[in-house]
Amino acid sequence: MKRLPPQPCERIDRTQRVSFKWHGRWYSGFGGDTLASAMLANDVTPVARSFKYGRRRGIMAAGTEEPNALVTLEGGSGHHTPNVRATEAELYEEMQARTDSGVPSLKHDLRAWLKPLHRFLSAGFYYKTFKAPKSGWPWYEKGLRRFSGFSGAPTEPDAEHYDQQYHHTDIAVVGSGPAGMAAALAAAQGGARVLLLDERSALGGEMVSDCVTESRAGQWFEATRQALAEHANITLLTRTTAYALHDYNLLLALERRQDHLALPARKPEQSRQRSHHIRARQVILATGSHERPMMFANNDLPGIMLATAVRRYLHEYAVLCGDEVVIAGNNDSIYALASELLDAGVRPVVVDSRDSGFDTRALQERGAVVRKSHAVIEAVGRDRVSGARIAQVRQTGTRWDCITLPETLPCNLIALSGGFSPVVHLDCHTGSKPVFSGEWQAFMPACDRPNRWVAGSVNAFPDWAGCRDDGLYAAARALEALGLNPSAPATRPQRTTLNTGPFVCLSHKRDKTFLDMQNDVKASDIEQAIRENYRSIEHIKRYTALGFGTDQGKTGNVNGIAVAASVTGIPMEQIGTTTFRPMYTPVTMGALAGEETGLLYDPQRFTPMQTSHQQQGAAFEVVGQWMRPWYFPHGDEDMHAAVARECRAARSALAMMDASTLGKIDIQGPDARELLARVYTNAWAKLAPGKCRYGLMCDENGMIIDDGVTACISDTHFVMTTTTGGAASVYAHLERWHQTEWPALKVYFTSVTDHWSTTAVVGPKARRLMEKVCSDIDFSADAFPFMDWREGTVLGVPARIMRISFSGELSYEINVAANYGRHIWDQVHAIGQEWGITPYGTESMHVLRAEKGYIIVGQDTDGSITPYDAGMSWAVARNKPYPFIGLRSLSRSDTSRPDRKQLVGLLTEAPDTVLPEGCQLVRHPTDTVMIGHVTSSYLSPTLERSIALAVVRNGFALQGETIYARPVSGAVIPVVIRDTTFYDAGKEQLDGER
Amino acid sequence: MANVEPVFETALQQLDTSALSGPAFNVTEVRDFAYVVLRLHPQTAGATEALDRLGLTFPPALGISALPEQRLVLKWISPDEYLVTLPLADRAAFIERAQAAFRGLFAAVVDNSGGYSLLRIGGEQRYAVLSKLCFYDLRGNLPVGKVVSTRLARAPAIFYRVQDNELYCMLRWSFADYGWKALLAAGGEYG
Repeated sequence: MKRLPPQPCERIDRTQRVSFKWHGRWYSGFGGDTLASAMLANDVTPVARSFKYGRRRGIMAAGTEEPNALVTLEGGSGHHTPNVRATEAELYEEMQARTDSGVPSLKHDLRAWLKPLHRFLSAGFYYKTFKAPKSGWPWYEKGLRRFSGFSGAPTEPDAEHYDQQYHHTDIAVVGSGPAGMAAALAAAQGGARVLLLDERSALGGEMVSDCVTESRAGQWFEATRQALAEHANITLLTRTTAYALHDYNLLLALERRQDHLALPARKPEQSRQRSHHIRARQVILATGSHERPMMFANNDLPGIMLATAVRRYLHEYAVLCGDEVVIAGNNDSIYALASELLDAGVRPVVVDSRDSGFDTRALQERGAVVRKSHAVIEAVGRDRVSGARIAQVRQTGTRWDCITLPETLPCNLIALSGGFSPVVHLDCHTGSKPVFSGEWQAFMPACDRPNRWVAGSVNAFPDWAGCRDDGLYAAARALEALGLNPSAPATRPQRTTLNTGPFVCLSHKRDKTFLDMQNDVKASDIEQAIRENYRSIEHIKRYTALGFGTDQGKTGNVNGIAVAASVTGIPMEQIGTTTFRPMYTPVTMGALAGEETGLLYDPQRFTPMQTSHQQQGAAFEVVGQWMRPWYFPHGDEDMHAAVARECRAARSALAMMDASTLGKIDIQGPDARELLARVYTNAWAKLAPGKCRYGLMCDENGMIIDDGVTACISDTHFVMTTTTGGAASVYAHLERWHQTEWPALKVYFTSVTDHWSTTAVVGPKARRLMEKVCSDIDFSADAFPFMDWREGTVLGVPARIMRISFSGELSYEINVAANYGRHIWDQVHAIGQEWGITPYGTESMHVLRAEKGYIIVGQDTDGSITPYDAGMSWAVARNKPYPFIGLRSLSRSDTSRPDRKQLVGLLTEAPDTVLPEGCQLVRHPTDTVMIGHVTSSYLSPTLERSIALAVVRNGFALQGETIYARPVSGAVIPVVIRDTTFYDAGKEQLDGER
Repeated sequence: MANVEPVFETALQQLDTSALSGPAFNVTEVRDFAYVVLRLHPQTAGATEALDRLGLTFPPALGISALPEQRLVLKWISPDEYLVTLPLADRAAFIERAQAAFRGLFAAVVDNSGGYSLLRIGGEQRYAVLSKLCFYDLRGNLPVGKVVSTRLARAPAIFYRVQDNELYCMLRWSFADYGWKALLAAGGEYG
């Protein structure tokens, strides 16, 4: 392998020398090189060790179909990228690359030394081995992991960021070879908005080779490239691989925006990669085709490459991959390479498996040797290929036999062309199955989904002009579908042919004939799978791992299907292909996440008082998406100390809490009251304006799903509150029932959760504070009783004040428009200093309500608890004129069983012992069947001991009994069952200091 | 009785918004507007007349009707829901007039002024930035006079356009900080 003098259409920049490191050693390439082309120019071989057998492997292809040269870039740093194809990695200054595929190293591989054991490592060997002794499995697993996989995963945080972008376009064209270029330009000229994308850095696809050999091609390419760049209707995305095509033409593509830049040159404000989400009214797939290798023994040696790859390296990168060349193939394209190698001063031997075909006289006159009806039966070599053993072959039915003795041709490069497989993947992502064509010896895209077209070599057009014309045809059809007038003819052009011969797979050394290079799958593995009765191609795939690798079997799958066909006698069209699924090529996790990482991973929702909470030193917890103050530590208080202080303040003096996160739904209409009666278990008919009521909401199964206080503003106007986490689901619940079951009810629901901010003032001194902040309401106990609300002015702001309580203490909730939320909070905090007002968070809130036995939906209920289970029969009105949701289910035999799990209180015998929440409960110490679990558990500052709530089977009947808590620690903790109200059963605290 | 002057704030009042004030991409929170939800179906008897008493007409689906002199915009949100943006100073009077106009009808007037943050978005790169956060075709499918309810990153958002070179985006108050962070991240590469 060597670098040639400048080539007519080369894409490298010889003025730009680029240094790179491969396995710790420095090499040099040029700007425009890929890592692969630079390694080839430097004669680096081998580049990897194979997956199972540790065989030496070299670079085989030039693009995304490369199965061997998987490298790790920038290993160990924040730019560590595993499993990059060297053929796709654009070279940049000081690139650091290595392969991790050698065990322990690329030079010395243990798996290769185990060659005598390879016969035991055929397909599915892991289903049959390592069965005994079972105790050895931890070692087996550890050992097997060491041998498997390619690159290691990054260990450092990613130093770069990623993003996404959404597009809407008339026509998306995937692939910018001649078909894609022609289609895109014609579509834009026809008036469509066009998005053209290509995985390579430059347009043209495989055209470079054509531009070298045919000046007409070069002229057309240049003119079209210029026109595409200048057309206002066209968006060009290069370095962009379409990796998925979903229903209704949602095309996903990955753009490598900065991967080609040296690390210091990358802009931190710009994403490294971008995932494009493209919604196109029409999609034209001009995705090209992948060349297949020929099948023979040792066809995996370094120095054995695809013929199109040899051409690309020659023309685009000025790299001659070998100077003693054998070209082996079954189609006319091998002669184009032969001609170009002759131009480069190489005299190739062409081994054509076909009997008839191409007129080779001109080539032979120039010095090429041509052997028709011949095939390579085995490659020889160790570190790289050194010879090709060829023989004359004959096909009888599905068998291929050698009919002459083999002869060995010395060579350092074997270029293979076993035919071309259209890149059908994107077309198949929405469930289409490609159809095998005997004429083209390929699986052709079905293209049977609406608003989708294929053009070019994916459609079996082998020449650039045919591809171009097919692209024009596809554009015309797409424009017609959009209602635009195409200028190109609407007749499909005629295809020329490569006269592709049948698949050749000799019986010689099938255990060394590799089909899937990445997973070391051989022709003998296919035979074995079929012998063991895995006859469906899907089963063959899974049993052998054919096509499992990151290359998705781009070069191996169709050959594998051909072998299966020859072994079973079933035609290829009946065997079919396996299912193509996204992604077409690997996509980084970063690109999939986009910008939704860190603080943008999930919205953090804040109340209007957030700044004040931060200033007051709150610790926060996430509740739904809300950031709620968890507790407000003073000094070096831990949570327990802070909670104890906060609870004592609420019970003995004055405290305050931000309750803004609760859901609030404005309900208006003549049937508002009736609607409430149907969605809540309790009665609403007599709730007067100015009053509030606690409501319990059930699903159709009678299970509690939410609760909250609803205020009656007028006979036709209510404001419902929901739990913080239930706001959206309750709103949807109301709309669903209204729209589907009760559309005749005249009622509107409007979410006002964000509009209202709520400051709760809590404690015996609460009335004193309210009298200071609001002068137009009488706060005396008789004038403003519990569960009433009033409208007034608080600190200059119109407010609704609700006298409700989740703590059991005297409590007022001040509701104002969010714009004044922080004003109210700050002023209440300042004015309340007179009584030592103490802000408290959700942890104290939980303790205070648990002391009173108030449930938290979702903590003390889990979707399987009815109101009766929760001891809340007082909240169930069974005699309403119209049944509420869940009523009927409360009468079902299972729902009305007396021994259901029921909500009870628990006290541990040792008062300092706090039960873990979720802890299992059993009847007797040694029982192994649980009778319930702990739902809430706290250390109560008020009672100076632990308390807990739990659901226990038949709990109501077990009052006073001792049962046992069994946490995962293994302890056995005796607990006494009691009712759920631990504090102020007489509700004397509710009126506070009068 | 404590005697203090109320302090009015918007959702992004506490943030330094100068980071997104360049010619390529700029975002400004509009701080002197109120938001009122009108619930009324056009096919309700008397609905058209009721709206007429407010000087308004029912916009078509995804449409807007406006009173430019009063800087009032009525936006279609759903077949029976309309969102009004109007100067804060006019809020109370408008609510009173709307309640009077709708009296006797199956309708509702809901003050939601604390519920939103209103952002005005401009700059040459506004579509490049917004297309990173919103999957709706804001450039090609949001002409003057159209409103859509969609998403900005993971936040619910209402976009509408009343003139060519700028967009309005309404985010719920509690999502405004997140939305701002998302706009900052997306706009970063455009300075």
